Amino acid sequence: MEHITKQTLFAHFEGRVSPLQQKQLEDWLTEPANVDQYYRWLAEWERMNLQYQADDELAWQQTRQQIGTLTSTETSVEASENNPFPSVHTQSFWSRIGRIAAVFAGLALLTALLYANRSVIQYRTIAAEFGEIRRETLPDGSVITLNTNSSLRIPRFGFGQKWFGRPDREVFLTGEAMFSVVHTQSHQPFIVRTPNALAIRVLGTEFSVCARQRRTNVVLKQGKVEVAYSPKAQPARQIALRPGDWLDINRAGAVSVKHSAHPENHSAWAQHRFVFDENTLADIADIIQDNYGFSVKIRAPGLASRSVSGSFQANSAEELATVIAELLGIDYRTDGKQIVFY
Amino acid sequence: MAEGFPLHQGADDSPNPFNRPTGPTGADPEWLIRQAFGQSMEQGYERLFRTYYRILCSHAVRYTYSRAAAEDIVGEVFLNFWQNQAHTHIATSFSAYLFTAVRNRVFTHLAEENKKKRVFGQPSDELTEPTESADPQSILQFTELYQRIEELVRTLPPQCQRVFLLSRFEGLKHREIADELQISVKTVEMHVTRALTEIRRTLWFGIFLFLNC
Repeated sequence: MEHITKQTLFAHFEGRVSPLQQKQLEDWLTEPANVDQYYRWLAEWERMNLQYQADDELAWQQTRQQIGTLTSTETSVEASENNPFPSVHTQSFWSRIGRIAAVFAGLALLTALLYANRSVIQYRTIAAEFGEIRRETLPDGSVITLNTNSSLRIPRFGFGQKWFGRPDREVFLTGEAMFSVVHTQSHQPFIVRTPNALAIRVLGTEFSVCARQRRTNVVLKQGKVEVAYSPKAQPARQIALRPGDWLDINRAGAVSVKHSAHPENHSAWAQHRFVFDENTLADIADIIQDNYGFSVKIRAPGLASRSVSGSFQANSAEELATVIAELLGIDYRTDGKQIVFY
Repeated sequence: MAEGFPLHQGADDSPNPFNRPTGPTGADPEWLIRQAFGQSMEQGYERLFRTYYRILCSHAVRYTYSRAAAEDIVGEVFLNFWQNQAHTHIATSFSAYLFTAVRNRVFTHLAEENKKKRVFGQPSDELTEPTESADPQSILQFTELYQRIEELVRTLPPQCQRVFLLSRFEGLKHREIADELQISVKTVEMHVTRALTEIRRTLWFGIFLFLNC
């Protein structure tokens, strides 16, 4: 016998064996005891790689009923003694039909309700409010940090397990987030989709995505990332990023890739820090609006294009406004949910 | 690390003298089922069902892609098991028996579904009980068949794949898929047809090989 182990069989079930191993397996299977072994290991492998979770409880109840019917028609005389699954057996034919019909009606209603709420049941949403930064570990071990006013929608069940319904780990991001994605054993891709036609595809890596109304960018810290940009009425574009690359899509939809020596600056918001590199006040106004929900007005001419550089700590819109105003030597006032620079 | 004697050595290096896969409790599931049959037919059967139902459905769906079809097939196999009192006369492990039975029915189902005008030979008569002779090549090739199908589905264009899975796996009607994806029913039908055609082509080739090895 050649070197046939459980690992060999698992590799075979996954389609990863060489022709030589294939031949060895064939020889190994000539022994009936090994055929048994094949299927024992197949059961074990299948248990660890279920394509879906069949409802065995329901199926068992149905099987019990079916068997009760069978047995009662065969052994009418010894019925009371030889009574497998007795609870089903002693009912009359019509009440049994009635019960089965009721079960199916109930199921149909439940299915209809479930279907109507499919997206609620199938997905769950992680959200960060204005001013809140939220960090969470996903079921597959990946860590996401949501910036303020952002949300991430992920499948409720089976995230990280490869199955038909979900060949990929797919999430939907609105807003801004930082991702630290684990590389799964099954090399399952992790895909971030955004409302503005971006699909970012990785296997395991660290990157941040900003998918706001006014700003869209993807910054890669480490690893490899593939960005697909497919806005309506435009040809789709596919861009591969390397660590330090910063992909930016401006309001006109123009795509540019720059390189940043410090990609981590783009996710400094996770520590309530802002890193500006010649960012104009207009840019900062956008950030304040996105992150804090304040509307920003710039009242002095030429002020909007003045730029700021540096790293600043700020936990709120007012704190940020104070810092910026000081730097630029200007004033500001707050008016409810509005900031006015002048 | 001796690997040559599967019956006497834990091939995965764990202390597992009979080389049995361990269930969640660490005990051999086959042994537990046999114990249960020792108690009573009903207990054994229920244990058998609960141990293998889900696993078999998952395996079947790799071929049928329809959960409903997979569950029908597995349900039939279990019912059949009871009717034949199979536990009193099987010579193989329960898993070998059940997997073979499921695979036989899956094969019949696939052959039925994908009938072509020119048939190279009749698909084998519906086997009600798995036969003892387990041809190594057939076993391996049947496993390969689901890998081929999976590869094919994986490489379908994204929208086509999405539609196919919603239709087949989720069991949605075309109207429901059209609403969900915001496309026309005609487009849905086009995608489904395309996916089925390509699968049929892959399957047919696979089945042909399978029956002619």
